[in-house]
Amino acid sequence: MSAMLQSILSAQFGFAVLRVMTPLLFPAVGVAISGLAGSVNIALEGIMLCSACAGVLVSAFTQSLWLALAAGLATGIGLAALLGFFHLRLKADIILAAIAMNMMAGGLTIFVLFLATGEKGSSSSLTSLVFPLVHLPLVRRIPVLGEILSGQNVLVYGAFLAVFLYWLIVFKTPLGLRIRAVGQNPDAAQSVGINVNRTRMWALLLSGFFGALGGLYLAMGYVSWFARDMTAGRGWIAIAAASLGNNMPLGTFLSSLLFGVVNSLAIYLAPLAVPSEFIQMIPYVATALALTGYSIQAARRRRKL
Amino acid sequence: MRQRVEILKALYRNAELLILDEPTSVLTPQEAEGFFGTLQELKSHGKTIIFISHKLREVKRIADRVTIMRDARVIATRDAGELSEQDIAYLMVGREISSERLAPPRSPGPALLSVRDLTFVNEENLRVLSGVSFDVRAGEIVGLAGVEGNGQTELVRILTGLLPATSGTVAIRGRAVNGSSPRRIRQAGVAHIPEDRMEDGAAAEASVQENVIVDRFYKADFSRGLILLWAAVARHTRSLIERFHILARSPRAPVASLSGGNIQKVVVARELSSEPEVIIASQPTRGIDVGSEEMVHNLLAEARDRGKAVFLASADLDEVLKLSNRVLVIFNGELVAHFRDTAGLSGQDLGPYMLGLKKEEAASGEVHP
Amino acid sequence: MEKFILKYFNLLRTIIAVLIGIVISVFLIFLISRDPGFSLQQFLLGPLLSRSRFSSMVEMASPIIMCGLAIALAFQARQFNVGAEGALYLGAAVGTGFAVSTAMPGFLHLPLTLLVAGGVGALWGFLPGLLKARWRGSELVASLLLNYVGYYLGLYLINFHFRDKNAGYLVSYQLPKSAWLAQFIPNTRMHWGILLSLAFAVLVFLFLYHTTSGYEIRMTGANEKFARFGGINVFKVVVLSQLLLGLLAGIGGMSEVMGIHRRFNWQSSPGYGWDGVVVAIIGRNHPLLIVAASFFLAYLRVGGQVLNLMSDVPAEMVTVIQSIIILLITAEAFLAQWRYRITVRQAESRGEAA
Repeated sequence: MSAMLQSILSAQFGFAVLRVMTPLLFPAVGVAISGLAGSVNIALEGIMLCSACAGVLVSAFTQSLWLALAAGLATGIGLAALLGFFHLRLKADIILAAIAMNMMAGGLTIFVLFLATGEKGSSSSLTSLVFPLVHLPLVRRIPVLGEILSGQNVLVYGAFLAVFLYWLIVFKTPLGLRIRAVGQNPDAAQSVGINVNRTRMWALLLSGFFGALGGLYLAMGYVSWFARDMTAGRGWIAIAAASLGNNMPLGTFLSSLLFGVVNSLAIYLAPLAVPSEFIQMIPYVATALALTGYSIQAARRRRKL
Repeated sequence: MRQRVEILKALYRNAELLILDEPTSVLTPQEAEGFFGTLQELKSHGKTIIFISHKLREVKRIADRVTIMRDARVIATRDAGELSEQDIAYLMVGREISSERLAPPRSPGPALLSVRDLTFVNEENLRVLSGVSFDVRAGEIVGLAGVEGNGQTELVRILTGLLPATSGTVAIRGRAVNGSSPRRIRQAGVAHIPEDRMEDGAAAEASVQENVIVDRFYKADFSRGLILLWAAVARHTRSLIERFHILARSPRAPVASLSGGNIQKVVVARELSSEPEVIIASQPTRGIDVGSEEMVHNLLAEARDRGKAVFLASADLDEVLKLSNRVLVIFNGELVAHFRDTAGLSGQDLGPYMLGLKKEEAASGEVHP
Repeated sequence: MEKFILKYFNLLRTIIAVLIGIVISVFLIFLISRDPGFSLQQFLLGPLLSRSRFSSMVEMASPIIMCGLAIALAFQARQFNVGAEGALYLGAAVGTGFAVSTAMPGFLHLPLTLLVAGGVGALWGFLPGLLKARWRGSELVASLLLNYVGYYLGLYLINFHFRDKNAGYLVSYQLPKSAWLAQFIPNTRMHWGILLSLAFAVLVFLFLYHTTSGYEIRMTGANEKFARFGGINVFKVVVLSQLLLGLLAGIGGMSEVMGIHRRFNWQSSPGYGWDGVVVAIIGRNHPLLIVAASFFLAYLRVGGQVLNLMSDVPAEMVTVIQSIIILLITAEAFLAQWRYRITVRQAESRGEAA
């Protein structure tokens, strides 16, 4: 037990937290930006899966990281555009349309994987690439902190950058202003000449972009293969993380970090003599509890005022 | 003031053509005058203005040419000078419309609705209502005048149980109903014509018959235990359609397929057929045709004459003055004036109070027997 | 003709979406298969040409109907609870535990086992319902998360408490015969659970359209503010609709265990809860249309299995097709132009006649 405590308090644990947080943080930022525009993208679970699949397959067949990156991003943005088209142009309920897209992703990735490899479980028969690790100069020499921060996958740093980029877009660009205006009051935004649908489409495309990066990291960094349903609900946890953070950059980051810690704990607890089903349940239970606690808090605040 | 901001924005974009849809609904008579001045000025600068309104006086006041529409058709386009208000009304409805006051002085009965010291603080911690007190007696219509957004919406929602008050009391027929559910309040004899018929008053995709039983489906007339008696519901709906002249194909037609005026008639039919003692009407004729408007006015006046207590909150001063026996003015969540007699009262008298320029000390609409 | 189109527009729209889905699958088969003619024949006719396949189509429709009805109850109240999957899995796991650890005559054992499974499912539906009704939390996200929790909890129960160690793989003990739903056609596995689900479809139809509670659910879904305004207890509706969702899903899962496998053998979640979402959307939340949609989906599914077995096209094609179909159905504006043009033409001709 004390050995376990020691390992949790170690720098490796901090390192693991960042690793585990990354595939939550990317989609959480994606959910947040679409939520800020008033059309929450709950299709990120499926979008991540498709981007992961596209990245792995393209990297395996071309052996080019850049092409894999391009394919993953194009897949994510393309699917987000499809969702936007159905929701904004064809007036589909975004929740139902997103549920449909998530289902499609589950089947389509297996379908494509089978056509490419003849297998339905994972891409382990292919030699796909991973994004490189980065050793930060200077930082790596700082004790403890260096061990946590340096030597991570480039996309882990990318996730931090994504939060900053999100902050920049939302608070420092005209698009961000429009997104906030549309999310707060679409009618008012429309009356001053903002194209509500176009703004929401932009927000959805950005959410697809961030979601795609999350998927790429999952299959080409976190692990080095694609497996069916490998997102395992991260897209849903991301929705909870974004709403816990009120869709704001810092808040979304902090709640993703929290879920990262909890999920890493789950991994570290695995050797304990607890049925593995309970360990595997932890991320979902923790998220559900956090969501409940947050909702109760929010309701109290409403009532008090 | 918001309207002027919108106009400025429009100017800023160098618009040559301004289309204004009921622009004066959020203005006091004085503000409306200032606003008309602005429009005249814009006209003199060569701008084109289309002014959509159902207020005949405003149309006469501002327009050079008038186009009248009825049932989705253009009925006439004339120079404004050629038409009197009566003429316009006639063209709009196709028959004579009376614009006489419907407020015969009668001796009212006991107070059926009593509100004391009502205060409401909203989610943003803003004080929306403070110390509102008034009574509405059997056989009278009490009008609430005020520029929109001064607490009327919240007041009506509190009276009907849709919003909990922060403090103060509401009593129906002498019984406190604070914190009661909307159903309890309805059972105490309250009917509610809501300000937004599509938001609160009706379910668009549901049928007319489903819409008219929302407050009574559980009563013995329409259900046995869990089972809904659709035959009885349809019979009831047909009788309402006939009685209130609702243009609907059948009781099963979806409400969304009706015109705005007819949807409002569905709402009014439901509320007035519940045999209420207290009727709370909020903007009861907003956005409906003149014919339906006249009908709603007559129905409210009839209910008053049958001894009901009617509380009428409206941004349309003509409506308030036409129907009310007493008038309250609300500004910034406070009652600022109480006119016990509406004979000879005009919109110009209410304006300064609506703007907050004038204020009666400790104004309240209470009546002491 | 045009009047007919207007009257049945929604149904026609659904049929057109389904046809588009089938056309796309034909296209995909031609794209992928080395022997497209044979594959296509297997896909479209396979489920109908053998007794066992036809029977497995009917068997599969049963839990899909139950989950479709479950989801429809929540969707009719406009509650986006998609927790049928977790309710079904956990409900069936606990129900199995109950059945294998009790002994009683069949007339008690059958309904009690179904009731236990339904009760656990109801709890699983109730939790997101409470969160939504009481604190405005997202029932969608909560139910998605509970799907995972329900799965792992059910798996744990079977694995650690009711596992048949003599079987080579992860299954529960066999249910006692008193808790079997009998199979009534020789050489098939068609069981009483199928008739039970059809009965439930009628029951849910009557509930939604002929009872006061059903009316409250539908009005809350049509316009929640209107329901509140009219005095309907929206809190009750939000909780009840989701509780019933879990109840039906739990019974649906249990009845398949009792009628077909006779032991709990789902190592991964069977996906009927998601199929329920699909058929609820295709059937536009109408219980009787959901029955038709469930048979259709089961037909596609079995066709996909046949395809998987007999040809070089993977069964997952069906998932893709079904997603495209429901995407098209949810798209309100899909074909709306067509209806609009007909409506205008009708109005004009009426105007001329007048």
